Amino acid sequence: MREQLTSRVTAAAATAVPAAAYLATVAPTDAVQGNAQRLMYLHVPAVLVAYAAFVLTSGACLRLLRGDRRWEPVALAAVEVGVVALAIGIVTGSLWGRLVWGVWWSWDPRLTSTAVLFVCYLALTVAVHLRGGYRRWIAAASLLGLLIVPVVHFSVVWWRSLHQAPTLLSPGAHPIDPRMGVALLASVVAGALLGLLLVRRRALVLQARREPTTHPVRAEADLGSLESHADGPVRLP
Amino acid sequence: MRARLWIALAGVAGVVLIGFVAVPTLRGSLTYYREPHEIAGHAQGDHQVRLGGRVVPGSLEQRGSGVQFVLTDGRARVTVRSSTEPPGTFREGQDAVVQGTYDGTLFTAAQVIVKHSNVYRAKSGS
Repeated sequence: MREQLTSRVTAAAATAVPAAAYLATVAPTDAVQGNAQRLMYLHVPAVLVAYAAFVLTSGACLRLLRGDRRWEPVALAAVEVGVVALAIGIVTGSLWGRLVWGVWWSWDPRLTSTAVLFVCYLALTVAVHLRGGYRRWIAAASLLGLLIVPVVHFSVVWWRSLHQAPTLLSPGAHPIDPRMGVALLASVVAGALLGLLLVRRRALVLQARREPTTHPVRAEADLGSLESHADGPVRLP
Repeated sequence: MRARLWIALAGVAGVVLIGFVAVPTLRGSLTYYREPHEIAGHAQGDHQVRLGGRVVPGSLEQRGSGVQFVLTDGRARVTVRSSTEPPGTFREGQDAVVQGTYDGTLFTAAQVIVKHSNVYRAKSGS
C-alpha cells in the first residue's frame, strides 16, 4: 500500500470506527431480542472481515504458488487477521446465542461449518509458523480452505438450522429497520478498514523479519516497529 | 525429502482425522431438527429428537414449574411439555427448537431453544 493511501485509510478508519460505535448505540432496540441484538454490530463485521481476509490470503497464495515470494508476508498476515476476526465472530455469536436462543452453542449447520472453517485456517496458520514459511502444500490447502466459506454462508439457506437466514445479503427486501441497517453497514465498513490496516501492519512486521539485512535503511526503521510489536517468534525464510 | 514425506503423511492423517470427526457431526447437523409433520403420531422410543416449529399462539400454558405448548409447521401439530422455564425470549408465534423424547402424543422436552428470525424491528416507542 502506498503511504498516501495508507494515511487515507487510517483517516477513514479513525472516522468510521467512532461513527459506527455511535450509530450502533443510538440504533433502536430490537422488538423481540432487546439490547442483545446490538451484538450484531460486532458479530457480523467480525465474520465478514474473516471471510474477506481468507479471500485475500487465497489471492496471495495463488501468487505464491506461481513462485512470487513477495506475497508471503501478506498471505500470512491476512490469514492471521482472519483467524482472529473469526474467533471474535464466534465469541460474540456465542454470547448472542446465550442471550437470545438460550444456549451458548449448538451443532447446527452454520455453527458446525464455522467451527470447521476456524479449525482449518488455525491449523494452516500454525503450519506456516512451524515450517518457517509457506510451503506449496500450505498454499494449496489455503486455496482449498476457501471452498468452506460459501458452505458456511449458504448453510442457513441449504439446511435447517438454528441460526437465522442472512439479513443484509438476503434476496429481496432487507428485513431490518433502516436505522439498524445503517448502523450495521457502518460497522461493516469500520471493520473492513480496521482489518485492512491490521493486515498491512502485520505484513510489514513479517517482511522486516524475513529480510532484515537486504535494505539496511528500511531494516533499521522496521526494527523499531519490531520492538514495539514483539509478538512471538516468527521467522520466514 | 524425508521430513517432507513425514509432513505430507501427517497432513493426510490430519485431514482423515478431521473427516472422521466432522462428517458424522455434519450428517447429524444436516437434519438439525425434524418438523412436526415428520414425527406427529410416530413414537420415537428412547431416541433424543430435535423438533422445530412455530409456537401456536394461545397454546402456551404454565404447568407447575414448566410449560406446555404446541409446535406446528403448518401441516401437523405436536404438543410439547417442558419441566423447566423456557428462555426469556420465548414467545407464542415465534419459532422454537426443542430437544427430548416423543411417545407419539406428547413431546417431553429436556431443552427448549428459541429460534429467532432474520427480521429486526424497532421496539415500539424507540
